[in-house]
Amino acid sequence: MKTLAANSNVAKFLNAWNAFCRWTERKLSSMYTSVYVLAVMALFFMTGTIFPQGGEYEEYARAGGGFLALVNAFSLLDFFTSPVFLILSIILFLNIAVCAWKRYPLVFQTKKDAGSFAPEHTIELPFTVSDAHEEVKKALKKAGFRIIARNASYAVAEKGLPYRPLTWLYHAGLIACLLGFALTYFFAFEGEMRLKLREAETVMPEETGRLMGLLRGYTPHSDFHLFLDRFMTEYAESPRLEYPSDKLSRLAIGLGWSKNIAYELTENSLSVKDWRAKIKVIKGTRTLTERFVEINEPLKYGGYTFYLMDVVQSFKVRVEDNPLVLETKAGEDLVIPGVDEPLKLGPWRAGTVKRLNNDIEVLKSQVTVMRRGEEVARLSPGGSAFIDGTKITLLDAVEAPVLSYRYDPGVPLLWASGVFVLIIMSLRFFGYWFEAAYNIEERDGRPVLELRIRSAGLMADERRVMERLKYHIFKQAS
Amino acid sequence: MILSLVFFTFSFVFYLVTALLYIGHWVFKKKWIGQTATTMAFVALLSTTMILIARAGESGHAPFSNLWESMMLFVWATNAGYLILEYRHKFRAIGAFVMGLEFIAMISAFMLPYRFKSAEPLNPALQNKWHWLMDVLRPFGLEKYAIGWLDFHVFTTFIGYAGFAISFGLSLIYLLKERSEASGTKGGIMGAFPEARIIDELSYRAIAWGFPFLATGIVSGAVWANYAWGSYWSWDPKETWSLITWFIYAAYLHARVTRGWRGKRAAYISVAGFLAVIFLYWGVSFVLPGLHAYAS
Repeated sequence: MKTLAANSNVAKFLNAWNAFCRWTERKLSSMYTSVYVLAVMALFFMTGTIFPQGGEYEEYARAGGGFLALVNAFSLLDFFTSPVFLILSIILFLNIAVCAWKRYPLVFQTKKDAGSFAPEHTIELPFTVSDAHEEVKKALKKAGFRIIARNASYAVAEKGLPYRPLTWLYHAGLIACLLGFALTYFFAFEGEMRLKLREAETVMPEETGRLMGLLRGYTPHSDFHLFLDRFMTEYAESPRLEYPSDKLSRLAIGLGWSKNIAYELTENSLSVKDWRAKIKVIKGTRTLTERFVEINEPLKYGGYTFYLMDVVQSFKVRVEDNPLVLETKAGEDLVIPGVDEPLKLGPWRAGTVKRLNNDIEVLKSQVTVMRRGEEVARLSPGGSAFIDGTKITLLDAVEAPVLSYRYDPGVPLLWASGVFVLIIMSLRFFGYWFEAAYNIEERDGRPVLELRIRSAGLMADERRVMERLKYHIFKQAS
Repeated sequence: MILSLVFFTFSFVFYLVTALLYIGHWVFKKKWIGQTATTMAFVALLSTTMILIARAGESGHAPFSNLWESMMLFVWATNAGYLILEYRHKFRAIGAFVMGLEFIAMISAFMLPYRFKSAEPLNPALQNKWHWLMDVLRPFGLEKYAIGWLDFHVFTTFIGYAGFAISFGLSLIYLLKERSEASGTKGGIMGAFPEARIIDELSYRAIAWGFPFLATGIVSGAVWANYAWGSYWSWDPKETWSLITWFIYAAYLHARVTRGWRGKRAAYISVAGFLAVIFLYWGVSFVLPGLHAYAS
């Protein structure tokens, strides 16, 4: 008896489970679910932009932040890596995947008919009844149609790129994109490294991707080193236009009637055009590769991408003849005994400048010494200045590039699938597709073409395709 | 910077006149007013094109780097999109709403402080050109006109915005027209518009036009960010809001496929979508700090 009862319970459970699975499948394959999931995603994303991301909960509470219970419960300060976000993303993924899975047979199966046929247009054909079928087929072919299905009462012809497979394909591409995101989420990591001239540095991230530990034999330290061979800064001269306040003067200049344009050219008119770091990838004594890394010109090696992110300017100064050397960075406060207020060194100007007349000049290397926003001196390497009676000597100035590096195995998949999605989506939206379901009836001994045309895509013009079809039909007859 | 601002002054007047002519055509239903309005819309388009060309010449880069320049691109793209719509579907009365929107955009650009209008040199991260395009243009001495990811990203995004702006105008018209049809009113100023179902279809077409462009803008922005900053997605407010906007329009497109989500409901989603676009463009720039904040 107990066994029977247990079996019955198991059967009930299995039935309930099956019913649940069917319900889940039905819901996940529903277009309504897609609409609601997208709406919920949009709402949650808005929430993610309202709360400051990456902040600490305690700091947020101390600053008087509101909705503390909600913020804590849903990790709203780190929303885009929170479990809620992950669950939403999984639901979106499942929704697209199940929709695609369920619609695959509908989209790609051989078409047998075009559903019920209710003609919307009729054309009296200028052929004999016996020739009509063949002549209409020819006219359709000339108008760019191909017959794809036929049954006893009507035939179906198609023109252009069928939109259903395209729609299916770009959704499949979106699944691949989400997989790319997942690879990034679980395996990507990044870090920073500061290079010093003619020294080698190793990639040593403080933390790696969430699941990198699962990879056998994985070590976060690179087996190669980056060696900074050279570093240079290029400036460009960008004058400021003295803009006349008088509207008529502006109009006159704009129309070329007045050449009275004044440019203001100061030292501040120099703007950094580019930073260039010549980097060698070395292993032992071998150079594996070398190239210039610039902003927007990263170095890719060993699965990593290295970006020139920033430049740090650091200085060594001596006060009077004190053997103790003071070290500081550009923009940092430098407190010097005997000088009233903290000084700031920077910016350091060294490198080349492209003048307005396209001449390239080498800049005189020097750093500006500032106090309360005012320039008090300029120092070249080895040069000295007296500030408040205190002698300050610049011993050394170094510009060092800061590289950010990133290891992201999701990027190749994401790019490939992203490009695929965009191409297919563009074909689907901007292309054209026509489906002509037709039948030839005999009325009063004359053949009549009964036709229904459906279309999809922004370029689809049903009126025009009807005109073309009529043109070919009557041209054949003549 | 002078010439672009001169063309801006001309364009400002042209858009005012164009909007008034379209409104005049809508109210008085005179064919000649409509034809003059279309001609003026062309003139305004030409003038906006000149603003962009002049600014590119003055700044030495594609004119999409500050709020004022991007607004000019928005006005240009919306005008061009509207004229294509008018050419294909021959409905002029819609122009009153679209050109009205254009004129509001011109007023907004006019009221921007000068610091948002001036052409500034781009910082190194924004100076990106496609090497392959430079190689193609070099033999002709035109390599400085090569564009890069930034230009492509901004341009495609704004073409998308233009589609959504037109759809917004059409959705508003739809809501008014639908109410007028439901009350059985014929003629009047709403009589100048086509049937509500046609406006609904046109609104859908405008969104279908903008949607792939916004997608391309988002993807190209991600490619560029990966190239320049080392991370294709940073959950910057602008990025997040662009995705929110994309989701809203994706929901719209899916909703249309299901029965019963056409007409009024679709129009409401379209209006919500464009409000998201406005926040994405203006709100994020001024309210939420981030990498894309034009106003910072």
